[in-house]
Amino acid sequence: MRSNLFILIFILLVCSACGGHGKRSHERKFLTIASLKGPSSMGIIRFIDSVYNDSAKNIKISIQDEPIQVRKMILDGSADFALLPSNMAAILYNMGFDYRLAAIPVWGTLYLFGGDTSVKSWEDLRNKRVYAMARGMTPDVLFRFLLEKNGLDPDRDIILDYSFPTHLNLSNAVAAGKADLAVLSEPQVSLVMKRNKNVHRIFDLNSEWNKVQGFPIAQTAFIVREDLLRNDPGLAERIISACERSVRWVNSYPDSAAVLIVKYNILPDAEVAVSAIPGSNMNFVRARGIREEIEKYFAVFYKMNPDIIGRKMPDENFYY
Amino acid sequence: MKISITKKQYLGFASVVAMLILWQLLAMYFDSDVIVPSPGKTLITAIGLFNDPDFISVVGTTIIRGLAGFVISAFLGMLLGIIAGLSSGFNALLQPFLVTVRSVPVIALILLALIWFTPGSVPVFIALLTMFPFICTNVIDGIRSVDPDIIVMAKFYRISRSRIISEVYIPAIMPFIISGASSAMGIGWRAIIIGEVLSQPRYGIGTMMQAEQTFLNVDAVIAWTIIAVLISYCFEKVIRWSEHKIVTWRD
Repeated sequence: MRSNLFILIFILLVCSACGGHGKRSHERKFLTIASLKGPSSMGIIRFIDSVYNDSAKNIKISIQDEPIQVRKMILDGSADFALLPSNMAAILYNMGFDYRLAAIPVWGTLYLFGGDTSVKSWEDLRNKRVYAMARGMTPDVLFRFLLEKNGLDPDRDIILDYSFPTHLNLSNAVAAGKADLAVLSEPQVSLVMKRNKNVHRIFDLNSEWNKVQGFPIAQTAFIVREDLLRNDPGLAERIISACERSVRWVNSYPDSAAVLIVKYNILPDAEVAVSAIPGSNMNFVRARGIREEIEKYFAVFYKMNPDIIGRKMPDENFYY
Repeated sequence: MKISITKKQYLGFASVVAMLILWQLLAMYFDSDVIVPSPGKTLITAIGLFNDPDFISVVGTTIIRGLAGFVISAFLGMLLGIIAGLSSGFNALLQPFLVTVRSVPVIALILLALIWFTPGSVPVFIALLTMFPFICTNVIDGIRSVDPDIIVMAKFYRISRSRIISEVYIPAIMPFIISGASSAMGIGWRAIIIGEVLSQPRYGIGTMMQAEQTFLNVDAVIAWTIIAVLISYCFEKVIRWSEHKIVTWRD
């Protein structure tokens, strides 16, 4: 009996030893940029286009549907650059993943929208049923914060309904008229408004946030692997500034950008893209100058639930 | 007899130790708390969960959901199972339904339930649909296992139908119900937690697991998993214990 156990342990040891060389070294011939199918990719669409047209093929752009897929590429170290929700970037940094925040490219894409025409002020939301995505996630926390700041108790004065947990479920519910008031982000808002003409934007939560906090929502983070910044800062800077130029171009030429957004399958049609571009508040701002503002944003989460940013405020090394 | 029990316990213990060693080795190999946290760290996290003021609400709600699903499916399963066991016509009617419910992927049921029900009742509905076929099928098998000669004899002596059910059928199907309940519970807990992860009710082990996964607290995800396993284990024990009681009562 005892010898069986030892044999088992021995086998396990051999197995783990064999797997030992699986630890990857980061010697790659190309750079990988992980982005999200949404405003993150809409902003850098011109950069994406230039990468695809570049014959050298030394940059790979991987556009994911969900933030956790981008997160996976940080966990296994396969992404050199990544665009993902800024609270997720803070969690990863606080958990010891060596990525630094280069910029905030997207500033709040959340809207309260729906078919209910009676809502004109925050007070009108009293005792209404508002649908939000997953409890405790960014949109939920931000909306709860705004409710509180506008004199409504999120748990008592309003019914927050989480029956539609993903943005697809919730979009469909609003489009089908099953949810009269919902908190959702661009470009889903524009997509739904195209499908159901009775639905309109009620509050731009970003500007409501701005009223309360004096600064817009630092929603999306653009992060870069630390060793790349250290070993080849010139290369990193070239890519960061290419993305910066792309965002500026998208805001200046939304019609041309919309064509590219459809071409790379970020959104199904140009009309929606043209509506979603101004709604997405894209503005590429380097992180080093706005640390205080970003911390103010993180502080809101920290107060509600420290876990959302990884249990502590990221230190100064986070801001590149 | 006594020796074999201790040997069994020893083997069971060895198997748990082997799992822990494997876990520790994996933790050492990956050397990262966000991929595989060590058993020690997870244990500390698990103990920490007990001190959480919401712990009772979270675990209690999940258990209530499980019990609600179980009670409803046990009632429906026994009712329909006894009828189907006694009447082959009704059985023929019921079989396609049972086969359908059993073979529909759980995730498909959840996706539909998310549209039909409130977040808190989605897991109960899922539990009901996953547990009911097990109990029902076992009850049918139990009824059919009764020796027809006994029934013929009982009828010959003009024993009432209700007495035949309560004194012949019910004792005969009890072991089948117990084994059905045991498999149903095993699958039911898993279904409830999947339902909670996707429907995000206010309280629930699944809700907590999803949140911790989002926050990359892998140790907490595993700690909640262990709590779920322990709950499942306790109910398994309760069922086995009640089986023992019933068997003694019959003897």
